[in-house]
Order: sequence, then structure tokens, then C-alpha cells
Amino acid sequence: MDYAITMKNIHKTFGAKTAIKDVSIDIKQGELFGFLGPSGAGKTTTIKIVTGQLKQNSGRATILGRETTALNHEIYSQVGIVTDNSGLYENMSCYDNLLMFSKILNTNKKEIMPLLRRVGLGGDRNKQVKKFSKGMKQRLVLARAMLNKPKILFLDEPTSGLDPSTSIEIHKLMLEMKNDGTTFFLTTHNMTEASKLCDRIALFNEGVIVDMGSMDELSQKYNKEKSVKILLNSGAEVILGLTPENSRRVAELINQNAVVTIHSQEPTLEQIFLKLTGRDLS
Amino acid sequence: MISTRKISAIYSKNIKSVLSNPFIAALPFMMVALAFIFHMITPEYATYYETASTLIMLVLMNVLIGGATIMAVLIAEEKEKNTLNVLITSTVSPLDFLISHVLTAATLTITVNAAMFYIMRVPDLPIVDYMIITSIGSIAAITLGATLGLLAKNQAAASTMGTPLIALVLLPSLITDNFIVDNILYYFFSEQINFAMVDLIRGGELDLLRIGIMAANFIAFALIFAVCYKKRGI
Repeated sequence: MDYAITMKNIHKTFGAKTAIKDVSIDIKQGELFGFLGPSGAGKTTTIKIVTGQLKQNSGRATILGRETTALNHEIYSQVGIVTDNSGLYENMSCYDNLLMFSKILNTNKKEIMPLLRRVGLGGDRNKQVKKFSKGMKQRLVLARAMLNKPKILFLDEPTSGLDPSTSIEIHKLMLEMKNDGTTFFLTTHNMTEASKLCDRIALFNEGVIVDMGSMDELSQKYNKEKSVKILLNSGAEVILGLTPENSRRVAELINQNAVVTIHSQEPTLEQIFLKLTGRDLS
Repeated sequence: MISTRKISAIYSKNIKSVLSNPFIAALPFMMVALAFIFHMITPEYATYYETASTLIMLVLMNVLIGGATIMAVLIAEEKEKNTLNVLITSTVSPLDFLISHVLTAATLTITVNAAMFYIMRVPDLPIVDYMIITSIGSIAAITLGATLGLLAKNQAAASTMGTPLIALVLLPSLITDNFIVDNILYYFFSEQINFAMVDLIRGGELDLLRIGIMAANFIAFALIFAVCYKKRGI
């Protein structure tokens, strides 16, 4: 199996504080992998280690088969990185920012405008970046990371602080890129984002992966009290466990045309995280 | 391997944006303004040597304070605004980054050196030799500024860190006939710019030893930068 990203027993400390403890992950090519955890869990440190911006104390990490402690230009030319410290040249226009990186990465400058339109900045090409809102800057950073059509895209809280419509646009863009074969390493504390987008999710707390799997695997694993919630015509809500007796009752309610909605009651990522760590994701 | 394409892209960006940065833009304008002021206040009866001495002082100020500070601020700005990380993770090597910024600072410093030559109008001073001496000295100072930029936390700190370099301009005139100070300063590029300019003013020729000492300064500063870069990273 060719893995885009591997991490084996990664350990990182800052002075006396341990930021990451024994983290091991293998991410397949084309996978959208989510790293879900609250602020301060060590997500950004992990991204910095795996992109070669920070060295681990022990353990081994690779991207595209190369050790992250010895990443070269060949690897960086196949990678895009979006973090909260991805700076922009604020005195330059939106277009000129991308033009400069297009020259550095040796990509066709004709691809800049379609890319800007794709992230909703086509009409702002000549605007100075310092006049941009946070959301516009975030979209420009994303466009810059996409300029070289990366094989792997590292996204650190890409929709944090963005309005819902911009977040939806960014999610659409990510799914389009995933369909084209891009591997994603996404860190987020937004469980809706993680459950909607990710093929697999690692639940991360205080530098430790507490569990990992697909959304279905995780929700089934922690769905101990299987039940359904039924909203009735009367406005009342009924929660019924999955027993033979209750299945007859559900059938009766449906026959009586008394049911408005019916939902299974598997736990959300937030509930799973709370159960495993005793803390919420915010 | 050095990439001229990447160096050219960063250099073009620097030149476009440099004048919108008040920390950087102020220095070349201030140096040119100083040259105008000194030219205007120099009396008509001033001797050739007095005018030439003023030019040497201005050049040293521009090379030491202007060149080194501009470079320090350029690097500190990239660090402060988190664009240095982006460049390094976008296939730009530290050497490409350093060369493009040295070229930017050199363009500004050497242009000001040339402007000072024309403003101060020192007759019989050969411009080619003047430009060779001041350009090599400027590049040595700029390389020293690169390390200051690497060590500075932000642009304000970088511009302050360049200020003590003025001591290299003032020390020789303040501490005269001190064997130790004279011998230490002799091996600094600033003192060699001074001596080389005096040689030219006296009708002498370019001394290769002086050029060699300035080039050795440049190599030493480049090595110091490499060591600091390796220890501190970006």
C-alpha cells in the first residue's frame, strides 16, 4: 500500500510540556483524513512536524515516501499548506500574490484567474490584500496552496472564523479536489465539518489519539444504547430502544400516520469525544 | 541549487513592495536628503579634502546603517508577517531567499551611493573605482544585516539592532591612536572603505588588499548567517 503520509510513534515536547505522545497514523493516497480535537490539543504541532517545519523528539514521519526531517523542493512542489500562520503580502494585490507564487512554482499564470474565480475572488483580483476580510484572506491562502495542483493538501482549521456560506464553498472545493485524487490532512475542532468531509477521523486530545476510524465505524462502535427518536403529529418526541416490542410500536405509529420524522440515535462525534475524554471540542 | 527564476520572482516582489514599508523606505530617502543638506551647508571655500571627507562619512552611514538595516528589516518583515515560512515551504531554498533579499538591499544601497556621488560632486574621484569600493562594502554590510534580521523578533527590533553599527563610523574619529582599537577596526570593511576612498582621493589606485579584506568580511558574515540559520532555523 502506498501511503501519502505516515507517522510512527511521533513524540514532541516543548521544555517540560509534552505536546504529542506516541502518535501513529497511515494516510492513504486520495484519502481525506480529519484530525479532530479541541484548541491546544496539539493539532497544529502535528501539522508542523509532518510538513517539516518542526522536528519531533522521536518517531518517524514521511510524506510521499520521504522523511519529514529531510523534505526537499521536489516534495514541497507537490504539497500545499494552509495554516493560520500562512502569511500573505498585504501591500500587493490578490492577483500579484498568486502571480509571484506561480513564478516560484513554475506554473502557468493563465491558471490564476480560474482559480481566483473558483474561490470567489475573481472580482477582487486588483484589490490590495490588506483590504480583504478574514474570509477572503483564507480563500486566497487556499487558492495559493492549490496553485501547484498538490498531491497532498494540509489544512489547519481552514474554515475557522468563516461565515457558513464561505465554509460551504471551501468544503465543495475540497471534495472536488478529493475526487481529482488529492490527499487531505485536515485539522479541525468542528465536528460537523469532520463528519461531513472526512473518510477517517482521528480523535485527538492532549497530544494523544484517543480513537480513530470512519464516521460510521466510530458511531457504530459507541452506539451502545441503540434507539430511534420519533417526532409525532402531536408535537411529542418519543425515544424507543431497538427491541422487538418497540418495532411493533413503531409500525403501529406509522400505520396510524402519527409519525412526522424518525431518526436513529447514534452518538455524534461531540458525544463520542466527550465520552472518551471528558471534555468537549470547543 | 540556486534558482534564478525564484530569485527573480522574490526580487521583483521586494522591489515593488519595498517603498510601501515605512521602516525601509525612510532610510534611502533620509540618506539622499542628508547628502543634499551636507552639499548645501558645505561652504564654497571648503577644501577638496573636506568635501571628500563628508562624502566618506555619508557613504559609511549609508552602507552601515542603510544597507545593514534595510536587509535586517526585509528579513524581519518576512518573519513577522509569516511569509518566510510560506516561501520556504513553497520550494524556495534559504539560499534563494538570501540572495533575492541581498540583491534588493544592494539595489537600494548602491543606488543611494551613486546618488551621493553626484550630489556631493567631489572632483577627480573616479566613479568606477568609487562604485567598486562602495558596492563591495555595501554587500558585506548587507550580509551582516541578514544575521540581524534573523535574530530580530520584528521589524521595529531589526531597525533598532542596526543602530549600534554607527559606532563603526564614529569610533575611528573618537578613539585616535589607540593601538588595539586601530588594529581591530583595520580588519572591518567599514575601515577599509574609509582607507580605500582616501587612497582614491589622494590620487592613488584601488588596493586589492583592501578589496580582499572587504570580501573576507562578506564571507565571514555569510558564514555567521549560515550558523545562526542552522541553530535558530526560520
